[in-house]
Amino acid sequence: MKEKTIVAGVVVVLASALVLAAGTPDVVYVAVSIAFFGLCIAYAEGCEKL
Amino acid sequence: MNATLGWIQLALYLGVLLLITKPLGLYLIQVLDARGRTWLDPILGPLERLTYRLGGVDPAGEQHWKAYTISMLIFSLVTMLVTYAILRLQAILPLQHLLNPQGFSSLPDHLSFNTAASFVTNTNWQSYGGESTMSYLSQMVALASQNFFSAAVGIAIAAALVRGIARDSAQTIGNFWVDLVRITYYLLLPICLVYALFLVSQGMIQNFKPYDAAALTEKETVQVPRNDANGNPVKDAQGNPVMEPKAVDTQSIPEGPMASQMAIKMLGTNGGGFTNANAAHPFENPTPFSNFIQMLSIFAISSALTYYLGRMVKSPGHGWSVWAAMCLLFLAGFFVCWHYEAAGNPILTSLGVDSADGNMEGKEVRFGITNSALFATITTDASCGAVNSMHDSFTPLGGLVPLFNIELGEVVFGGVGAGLYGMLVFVIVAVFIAGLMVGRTPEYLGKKIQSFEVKMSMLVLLVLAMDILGFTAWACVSDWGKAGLNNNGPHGFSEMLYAYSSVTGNNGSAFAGLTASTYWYDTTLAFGCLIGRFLMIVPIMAIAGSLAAKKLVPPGPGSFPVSGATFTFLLIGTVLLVGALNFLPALTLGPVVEHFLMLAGKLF
Repeated sequence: MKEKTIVAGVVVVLASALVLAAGTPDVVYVAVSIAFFGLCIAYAEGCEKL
Repeated sequence: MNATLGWIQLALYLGVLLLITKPLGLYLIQVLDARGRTWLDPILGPLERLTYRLGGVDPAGEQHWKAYTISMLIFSLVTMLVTYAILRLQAILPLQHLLNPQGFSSLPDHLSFNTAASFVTNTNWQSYGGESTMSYLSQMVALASQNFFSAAVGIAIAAALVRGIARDSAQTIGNFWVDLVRITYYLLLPICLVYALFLVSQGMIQNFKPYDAAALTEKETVQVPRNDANGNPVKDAQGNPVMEPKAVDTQSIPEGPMASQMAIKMLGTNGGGFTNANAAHPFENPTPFSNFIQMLSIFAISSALTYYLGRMVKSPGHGWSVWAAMCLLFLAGFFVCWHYEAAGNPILTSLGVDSADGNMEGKEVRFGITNSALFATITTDASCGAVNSMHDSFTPLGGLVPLFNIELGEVVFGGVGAGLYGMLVFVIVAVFIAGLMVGRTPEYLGKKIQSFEVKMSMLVLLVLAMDILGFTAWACVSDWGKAGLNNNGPHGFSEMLYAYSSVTGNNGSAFAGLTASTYWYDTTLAFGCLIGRFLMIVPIMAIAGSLAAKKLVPPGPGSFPVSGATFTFLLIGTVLLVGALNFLPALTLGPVVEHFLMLAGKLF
């Protein structure tokens, strides 16, 4: 599960970076919102492991 | 208002609050139980069941804390994106003549993001003037519905945490969808219906009319920023906006569906105003009675939740002890704020202004010193953020109170749900400290407090401090941060600190004086809201899950008593200690130094 969380986090960060580099502001804000909530789910996984 | 009337009003306020706490708490017990019965069942029961059927929800099925949290996160994400879309498409959505009679254009992307993040987190920070920006459709569908949803989410999280404390060796803490539906249908909607009618009876508007125009008896000329052909502000070589004179001979009188939004704005501790002046506007707060009821409704649910806590954990005394701690912290803040606002500004006194008037700058004369100080304390104790006076114009130490209230985590009654779950984090810390002091294993209501709960509590407190101080520090050293300031020195610093404290605490009130509707401010403030809400809720839900799974041990002679005066003062001490350790250095650089400079004759 830990590996899955790390991979999910990296994917989210990379996808966000890609959108930031190429997207319009609307796409950036929507993608960043989705990424934030995705990270919150990963954060919940992380909290459980602490 | 003289001091005697102020004391009478305070006593009346606390008396009525105390009076409604138990009945509303009893009602909450039924609402927050999936099998609970209320007198609204014959009307709302079919609607509730239909909602479950349409949503594919099994009301009997409960969720593990992680499933509960993920449901809440997904719901928040979806509603945030819908809000963003409505604001971005405001100018082209249907029924423009009825729901956007002023023809307001769509909001810019950064402002839409800021507003969507702000309303989904129950913050309602407003980088816009409501009456000059939002269509009626945006006010009703995007903003008012978020007011209901974000309030319901807060109460649901608090209920889940209380279930976690109360249950014995359980794997589940309730069902998020059931909590959301029941809180919205049985608690918020019925009260808001009656509340909105009451506000209309006091003179608040509720219509779909276009704005009225009134001819000014005295025409005047004002300076406004000059715009180019594309509508962008023209700037000079130094980057300052170029101003031009504009003759003004009419005044626009806002109209719109105000009462329906104001009811949930106060009851749900949202705080986002229909107008820019918020509850200082005569339409949004027409009478002293509406002012009193608005203040009461800010604390009502949060106060009742303490009773709910006591009953659910089978220790009513514990619920009342938490209530007492909140009440004493509220009174302390109010007395400090009231004292300094009533004392006024010594520099103005030396110029001949009667000191008996106190500090009336930025205050609505209908409300005066006491009602302004009381409203400011209440709105920042809770995570409401509605204002009936301008906090930026308070004396330095009078303004310190709202700021410090927010930085304590808004646990003094607090936002609906958020106040209780925030305070329970402090309870865990207090119990842990007490356990360390007497050399016993910390125990809370028959549950052992172990390293996991303490780590999660520390995470919550660290997120609070880092979100506020990190963003403030960044803004202080950035060109974009300093460009937004309209005041320099410690007052400018206070404006920045207040802004990031407000969004992190999901309060939403502004110290004002800060031009925040820029890409950088809108975006960083939006993240302040999101971090301050969800990165705190997740560890709190982890605590709920952990406590639910623990075996309930009957209290014995070695158990730490969590009711009574000793516990109440320990809890107050913990809240103040954590707040002071985290934020006193920053407060010293802002309002404290400004106070001493004011005494030395310098204003900012």
